[in-house]
Amino acid sequence: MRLAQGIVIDKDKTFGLLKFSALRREVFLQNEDGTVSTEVKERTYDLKSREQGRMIQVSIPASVPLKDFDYNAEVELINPVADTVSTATFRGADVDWYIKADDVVLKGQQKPPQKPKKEPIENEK
Amino acid sequence: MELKYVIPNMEKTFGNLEYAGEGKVEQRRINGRMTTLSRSYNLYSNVQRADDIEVVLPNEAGEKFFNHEDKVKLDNARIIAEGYKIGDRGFTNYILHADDMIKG
Repeated sequence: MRLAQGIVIDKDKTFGLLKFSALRREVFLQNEDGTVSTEVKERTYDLKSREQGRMIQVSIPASVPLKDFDYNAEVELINPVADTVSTATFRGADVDWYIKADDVVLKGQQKPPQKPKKEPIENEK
Repeated sequence: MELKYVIPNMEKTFGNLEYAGEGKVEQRRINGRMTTLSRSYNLYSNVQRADDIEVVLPNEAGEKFFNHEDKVKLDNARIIAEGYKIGDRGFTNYILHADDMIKG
């Protein structure tokens, strides 16, 4: 079946305890001519998930400053969204899940109030 | 990345579920006898209106008898994803598993 309206996931039951591991990659915006610019679009972090029994990757928009928590710090995702991409292979199709979230914060910390998204993006380079 | 499953927030993802009818029964020959592994049922969701919701229940849940459009609730629902392709393009087929389905 299709789930055209998306899946609203129960983050506690789906991921269980999450621990911060590392910054995995930064995705850069593309220039009009297709070359890679220096402006970061999003950052992907590696988090250890107890319920999944593996490392999961979560992408956070670049409007959120870089996170540098301690290794194994317990963290929480804010508004995670899980979706899939399918790639046709020679015999069928492979499915990959991906997760995007508004923010990743230390567990137990007060959720920051929703900031308006009109913050000027600092572009140092 | 692979995930074993995701657990949906039933209220927000599916809203109200209504029974629509029985689907397929998966059987396998074990020691020469046909054994039921799982049964699937079709449901209507007032949030996901694109398709029927297809839920797969294990054999242990037993056979379910509901009237058309009876309100139902699922126990311990989780979603897995499988891929299929049409031509050179890949698509995702979501499969909803649950332990049991009760009148809601």
